[in-house]
Amino acid sequence: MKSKSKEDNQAPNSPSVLAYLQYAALRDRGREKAANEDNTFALTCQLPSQVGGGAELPFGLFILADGVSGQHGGEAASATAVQKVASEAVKHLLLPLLAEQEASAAGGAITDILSDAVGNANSALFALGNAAEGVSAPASTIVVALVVGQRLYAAHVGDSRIYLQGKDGQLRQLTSDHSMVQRLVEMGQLTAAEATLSDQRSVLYRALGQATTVEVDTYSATLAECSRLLLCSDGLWSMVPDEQIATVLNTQSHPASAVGQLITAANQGGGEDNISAIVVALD
Amino acid sequence: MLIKRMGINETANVGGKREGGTADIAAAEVGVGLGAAAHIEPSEHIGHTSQLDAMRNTVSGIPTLPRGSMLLDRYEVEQVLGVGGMSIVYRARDLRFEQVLRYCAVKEMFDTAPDSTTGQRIGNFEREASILATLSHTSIPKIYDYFSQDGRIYLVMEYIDGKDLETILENRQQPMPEDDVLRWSIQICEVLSYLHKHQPQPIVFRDMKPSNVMIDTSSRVMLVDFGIAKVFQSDKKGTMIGTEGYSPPEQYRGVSEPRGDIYALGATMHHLLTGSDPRGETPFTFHERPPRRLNPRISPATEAIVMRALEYDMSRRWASVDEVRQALLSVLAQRSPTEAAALGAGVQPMISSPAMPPANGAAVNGAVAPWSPSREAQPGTAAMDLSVASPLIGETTTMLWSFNSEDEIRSSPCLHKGLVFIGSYDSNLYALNAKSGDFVWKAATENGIASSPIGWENLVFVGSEDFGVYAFDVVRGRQAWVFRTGQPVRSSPRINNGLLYIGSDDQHIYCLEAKSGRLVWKYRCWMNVRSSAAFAKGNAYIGSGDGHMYALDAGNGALRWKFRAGGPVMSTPTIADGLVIFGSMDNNLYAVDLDSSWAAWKFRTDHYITSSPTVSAGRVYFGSVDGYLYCLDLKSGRLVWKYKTGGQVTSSPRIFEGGVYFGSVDEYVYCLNAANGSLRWQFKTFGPVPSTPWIADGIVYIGSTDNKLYALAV
Repeated sequence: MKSKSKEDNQAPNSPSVLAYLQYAALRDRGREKAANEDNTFALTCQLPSQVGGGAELPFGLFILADGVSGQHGGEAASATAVQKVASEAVKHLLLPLLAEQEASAAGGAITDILSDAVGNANSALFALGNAAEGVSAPASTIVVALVVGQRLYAAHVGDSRIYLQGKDGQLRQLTSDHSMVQRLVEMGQLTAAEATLSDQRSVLYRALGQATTVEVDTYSATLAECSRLLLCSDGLWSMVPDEQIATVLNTQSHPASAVGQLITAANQGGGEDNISAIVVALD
Repeated sequence: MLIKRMGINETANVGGKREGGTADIAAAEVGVGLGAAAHIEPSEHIGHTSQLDAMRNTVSGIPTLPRGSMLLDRYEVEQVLGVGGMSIVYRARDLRFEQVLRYCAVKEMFDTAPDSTTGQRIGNFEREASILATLSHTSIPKIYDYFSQDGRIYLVMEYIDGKDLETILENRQQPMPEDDVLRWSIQICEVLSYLHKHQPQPIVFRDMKPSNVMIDTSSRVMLVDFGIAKVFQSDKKGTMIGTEGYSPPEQYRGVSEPRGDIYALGATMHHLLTGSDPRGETPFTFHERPPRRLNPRISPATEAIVMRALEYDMSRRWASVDEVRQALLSVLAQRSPTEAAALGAGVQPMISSPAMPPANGAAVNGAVAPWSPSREAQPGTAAMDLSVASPLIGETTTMLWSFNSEDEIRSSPCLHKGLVFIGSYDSNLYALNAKSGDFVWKAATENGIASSPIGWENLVFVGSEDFGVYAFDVVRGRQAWVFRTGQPVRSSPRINNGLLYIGSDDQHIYCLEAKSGRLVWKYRCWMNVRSSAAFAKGNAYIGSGDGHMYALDAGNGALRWKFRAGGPVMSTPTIADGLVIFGSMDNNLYAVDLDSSWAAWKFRTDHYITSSPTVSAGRVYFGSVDGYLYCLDLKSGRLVWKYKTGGQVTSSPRIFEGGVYFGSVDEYVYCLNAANGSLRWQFKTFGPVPSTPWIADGIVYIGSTDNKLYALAV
């Protein structure tokens, strides 16, 4: 049911029958970092149909966090963030869903629940910083993707990303980085090409653990026209161009082989940072 | 600011925090901002260990000289005033003046990561220091001495007894009085003007922020930290340095010019006036947080000055600091001493209270118009509140024709086969020529019509207060059939696959054969049904006064799911991106997944939502009884903008060629720019407008409770 960072670089490349929400999660230290400060979480299951003889509901929860180097280990930061969000999401989304007969407003909107879970992870990290005198709080990015049936619910802070690969083969970035360069691109002060070369591209203006509260970006999207879901840290997207990511996702039918190739590509591209990715099949 | 890949620059910034809130910090760093890199002779390398080094204490991980350390046998170190990224500032006593206690600030440069460029950086520093030594201004600290000892470089400067504005603001815990900010800013403009007029090249300060402005004990402004750090931090890719939150956007492209200082001054004033630290906000979002929204006690004139300084586009900012100074002076002059005293008594920060522009829109000081967010949208991530207090500001549009019925028109028109149909409380359904407005026919029901008609093939359908659902022949208005329910019909008919769906106050949802009016199925709710149906995936989605959104099999009426909102659902759902979107009288707009009935997101307003949402280009538009027309992002459910009318918005918006059209209980019909919510025009009727417009061929058709149906030019 749960898979945490399978360290399998030699995934089989053989075609197989794909099931909805079949996934592979992988993290790699890269070529320059001494430690792996990324963390991932994945959980899939099938929920019984709720009302009116509908089909069973596939359920998938995927989380990826990239810890920021600092006085605290980045690894502890990302692990705390992932654990906190995962447990909150299970508690406030999965368990009520198993118990509930009828959907209602009382339970809150899904994106609000995800946002609250990320907010609680933020508080947990921020509290770690306050605990020790003069020690700044550990920081981490986070992306959360919850799939229920044909719909994706997502939450995001920092510069880890969620991509959706369409059935038309097009790769679409769902999240928008909370980085200085992205902000400048949005304002028309930098081109996307300049942004990729900028020495400011790793400067974030928002991350978990930096203040008592954090503004969380949330999204919801239908997956009807999508074939793959990808969560990744900047160790992947900053080393591998989007076109190459799309090619890998289009040509590798199995999530495990796709994720393996993506990490290989990131290392070939320089491997300057930790690389982590979760590929989820939506066929 | 956070940096994931720690580099020299970043380490410097992270370490740049002053220790333990020391009140006094000396003017220290000197330099000249232009990044023009003349070739610099490499200077001696630093980094030798020495006796002084061996004695060092550590502050924030940086080794500092202990009290009593002697430099050049002249400067006796007394205390550390601050530790910067590349330097430590000490207060020292100048022993050359034995008879008096004479303090000076001694700045010690160090290099956190000596490498091949260290020599060049030292050289740059020397050059910049020499230029600064030639400057003479009451707001620039004097340079007394410059030397190296034990491989380290020292700069001896005027000691300033005072506090920097960041510390002053932190201690105060609330926004600074406006008049103080005006007086300080005027002085800052004066010193910036001196720098900008420097010959042969203007000097750009490049690092204007509250912590770089000191106020000494005689209320004099002193500009400190002249950017030595920037010279030291410049790297091989070019200068891209600035304090996040205050620096102008162009500085990140390596562009540094005097108008960048104007932006940073604007950011500094914004922080002082509102208490809102820009380093904690999404960068470059000042236009989403105009000062008066955060602190309504600020004068519109001052806000206008600040917001013009904060324009992204350099050419739209003030042209010079002299211009800013002039504007500030005239604002200060206009303010009476009593006002100033009242402001000084304490300003409480307030959040998000809609700012009221001056009623007459008069220019301030004859120079600056009040800042208006609706003028032009700035690219941004967060929402804009486009509140218009007076409904009489915008332009109007041409009325092409109007048609007078004999009672209020509360329902909405529809167009079909060249005719416009409208129901009236006078109990008639009218058919008019859509181009000319000429009367074609009317068909009577036995009571008022609150339902909106819909045309299909050669029939037009409408519900009536007389409990009936009617079908009329389009050409002559002859009744084709009538279906009787048990209560008034205020829901509007919808046609899908030859079937008609409508609700009734008798608590039922009905599905009829459109051609014959024969009942196909009915579904019992627990309260009245005034919402109308929407269709997707073989389901009909419709709300009820019992608080549910129902998903029913469109063919047989079987319940697929129901979603319980916190209040009655009178709003008609819209379907987009796999979501059913509708409002409720619990004040929320809900976006519910078509399949699972999970609420993907919800958005709360301040009153009932009976208006039905419209989706266009990834945006959701709807009105609320709280008086606003809202625009949300479809993916996230976040507010993009909102627009305040003078009354409840129960009308449902329609989108046409980049415009949002709707009516309000304030008797106006509005057209807003869909992208940013700015007003395009508004048209006055003589009664509340709950009607929803129908737009076709450049004509907006909308009814009003003044009994008229209007045809307006788009």
